[in-house]
Amino acid sequence: MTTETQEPQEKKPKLLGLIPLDWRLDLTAIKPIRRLFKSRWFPLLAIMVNLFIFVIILLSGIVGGLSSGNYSFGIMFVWILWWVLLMMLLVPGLSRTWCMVCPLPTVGEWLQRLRILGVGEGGLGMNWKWPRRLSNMWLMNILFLATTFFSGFFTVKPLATFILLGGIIVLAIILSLLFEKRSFCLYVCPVSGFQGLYANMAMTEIRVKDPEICRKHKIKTCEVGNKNGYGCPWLLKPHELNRNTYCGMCLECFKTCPFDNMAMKVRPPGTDLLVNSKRGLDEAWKGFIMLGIAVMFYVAMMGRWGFLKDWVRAETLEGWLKFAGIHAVMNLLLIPAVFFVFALLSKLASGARETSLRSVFVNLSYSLIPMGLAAWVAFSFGFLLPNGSYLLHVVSDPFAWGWDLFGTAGFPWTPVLTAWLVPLQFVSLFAGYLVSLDYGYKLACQTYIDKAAAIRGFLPLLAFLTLVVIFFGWLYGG
Amino acid sequence: MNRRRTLIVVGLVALSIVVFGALASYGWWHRYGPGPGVAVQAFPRLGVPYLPRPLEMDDRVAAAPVWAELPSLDVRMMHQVTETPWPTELIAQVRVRAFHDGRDFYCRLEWADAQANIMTAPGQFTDACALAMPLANGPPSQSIMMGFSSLVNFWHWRADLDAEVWNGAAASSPAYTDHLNPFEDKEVLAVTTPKPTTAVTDMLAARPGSLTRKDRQAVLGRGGWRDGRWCVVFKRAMRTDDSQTDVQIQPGLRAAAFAAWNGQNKDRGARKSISDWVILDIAAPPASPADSRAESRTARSAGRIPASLLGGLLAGVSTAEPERPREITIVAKRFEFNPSTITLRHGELVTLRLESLDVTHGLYLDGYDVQTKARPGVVGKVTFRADKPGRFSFRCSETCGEFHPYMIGYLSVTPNSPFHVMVLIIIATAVLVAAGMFIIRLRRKRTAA
Repeated sequence: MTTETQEPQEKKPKLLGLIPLDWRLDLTAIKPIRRLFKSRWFPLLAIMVNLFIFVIILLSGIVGGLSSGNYSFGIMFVWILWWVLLMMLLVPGLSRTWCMVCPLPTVGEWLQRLRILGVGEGGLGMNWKWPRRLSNMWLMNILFLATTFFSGFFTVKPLATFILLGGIIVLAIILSLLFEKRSFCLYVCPVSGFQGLYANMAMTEIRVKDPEICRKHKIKTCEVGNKNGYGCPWLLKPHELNRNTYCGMCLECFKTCPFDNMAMKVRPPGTDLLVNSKRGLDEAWKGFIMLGIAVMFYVAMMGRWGFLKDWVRAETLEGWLKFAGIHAVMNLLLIPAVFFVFALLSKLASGARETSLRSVFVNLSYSLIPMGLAAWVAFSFGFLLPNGSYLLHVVSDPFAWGWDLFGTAGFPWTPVLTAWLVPLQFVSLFAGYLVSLDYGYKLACQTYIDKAAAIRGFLPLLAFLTLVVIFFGWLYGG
Repeated sequence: MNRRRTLIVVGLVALSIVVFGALASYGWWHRYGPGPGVAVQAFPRLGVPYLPRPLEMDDRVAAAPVWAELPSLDVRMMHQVTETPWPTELIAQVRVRAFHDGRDFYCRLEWADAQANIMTAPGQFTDACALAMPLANGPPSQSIMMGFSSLVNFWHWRADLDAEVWNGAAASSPAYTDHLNPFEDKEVLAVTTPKPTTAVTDMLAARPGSLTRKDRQAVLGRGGWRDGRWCVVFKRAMRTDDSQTDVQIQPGLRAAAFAAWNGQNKDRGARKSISDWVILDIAAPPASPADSRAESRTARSAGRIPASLLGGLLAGVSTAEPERPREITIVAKRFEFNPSTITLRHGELVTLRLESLDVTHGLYLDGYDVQTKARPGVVGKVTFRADKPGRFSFRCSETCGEFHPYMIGYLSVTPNSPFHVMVLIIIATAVLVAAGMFIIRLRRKRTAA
């Protein structure tokens, strides 16, 4: 799809001209971390802790308490704490660490393996292959978008959050029993898709230490498994891993590798964006959808338009249908169409006839990922600073039964640092813009045959990204 | 073996679905109630402009040209069903117009009635209408017949009284003596009906069944029937010296409700058509310079302006008038503020008045860390100086329902320099990047040459 630049003697590429993109720091060189990763108790113990919290979240959705979401443990932990952690820390910092400790597919996986801790053959699942036609992000795109249609329920009604999370668990159980390994996580889970896409921006990665060792290792135990661990549950070839997108960080490859050749490394953020592997329209659309949802969520929830709030919370069916319709059209058609125009301009400006419009469209769309992530970080500040204090209340009284476990049940709503909210959002957006520009140029260089064409082809992308960041700036504080 | 495994898998799938369904249905049956909030009704609103055109209550008052210039509201009526006797026919709609001249308040009710019923006799009843206004200057309770949030004034106009007062017609027979107490005139201490001086009876009520005629009648009314329609004009001074029993009409929002009786249908007493509450949006008269000075003096003497501000101002120019805060009224209802965007000039002194139309709402302003709250009938106020430029969200600070965290409005203090700086930086970055690209390209060309 892309054409590698032909120019030799290139300088080592750097992020923003500062950090070499090939700089790495091996965290697993630290013995306790390596020992932890190789233990079968990890991440199981972390999953168990998480599972315990999720049981409370689920119970808080169906037993007693207040109807108002801001005093519900489930709502606050899922839509304030989890979402903010995910978007501001976990994904940008630690890639798909959430998937490592996610309790949602756990029960399904235990049933599939008929084991919790140990390793062994056999299990309950039917072990079917996932259909080839669905082996992409499209299903996740549609499911995630469909989920956001009901955001006016999930984010405010405890029972709706229970139904969403419980539904995901049941679906994970069913699909784990029918299909092989983590097919559910790879191709269905609504949370998985955007995590995978934004994990390209993460500052950590799991990779092999020395590819030569893997090349010489005939039995790829990381793929097929051994007595120490299962073959990659995410259906990857860990010895060839070069992107974070589909790696669920289950750490099985650390356990199965007899040469201790797997490593978790710190790296400059976003290096995966330049990896031309499995790029496609499905991932491009995921980027558009995430950008569109950031806009729509902000407008509907943190915007000033009361009628939109009535639409989102389905005050009338007609209003909700309008919301869902506009939301779907904006995400699936409008944003891609606008980007298509700029991709076309890029191709025309570059003068590179031999480069296909599709490859321009797909490759350049990855430059939206830093911008999109920054928009979500900025959005998350808008949730966290004004509403974070509710967490202190719900943690002491998770079921709204009048408990005061930690003495914080009476803690009043206390907005924090709201004077800095808009400036923090602007800084986040600007940082995302700079990184987007940087990777946009590098992607243009990857896409077009020579540097001159890349520079010409980059200018429309520069205009597009500038418009996008100004638009977000206006939305958040203009 | 395979069959057994299939059966187990199917069983587990069914089990997980059943467990999930059972838990979800448990949650559904134990789902939370609607919360402490009251269902919101969108009350219709009628603008009551200020027009310095006082009207004489002559026989042309109902057809005066001024009425055609005013906004009108067609108020839907409903049967009164709380008290007996119930109505048999509905007066479907009453058209309302109103204005004030700063001194008097005028309101005209107009409705279709094929036949004017003016005289009363046994078995015959007169046409009538009424206007109700709560004394409290706050949003009304949800039902006008199930209880009021305060005392309510009723101005009850009757066609027979109109004819008697304005046209000198003979008094009607006492068909209205009291349908609950028809032998009143035989009582030793009978309540005597005084000779009417106005076609409107000014009454007071706290709840259904408590309607009481006031000793002092302060409302004038005059009606006219023409081409199958009644037009009735009410007139009363906006302010009276009896705020305990008379509604004091001031600029701002005020609730009102209407009733109409059709004598042809034997409407009388509780047998009537009534409206739900209507919000009158009463415009303030333009302040004259003399008024401004007077109000400033009042504000100063009442201590409404913080002493520190006064001190600062007085330190600058000893003869300067103290700055009056600009007052902005924000009406809150679940889950929106109206207006939802407020624009202030940098350095402006402002008072935000918060009114609630339904439940208790709060207003917290990001960045300024100021807040107030209001509940129906109780207005919240907060005064501050807009000394930080930028856009700030103001959000509800009292849990008011499920969407409470998203009840947000924007306050912009212009110029919005943080945003302008951000845009400038971005455009400068874009220009620098584009220029850098061209420089690189030129260098490459030169190197290649």
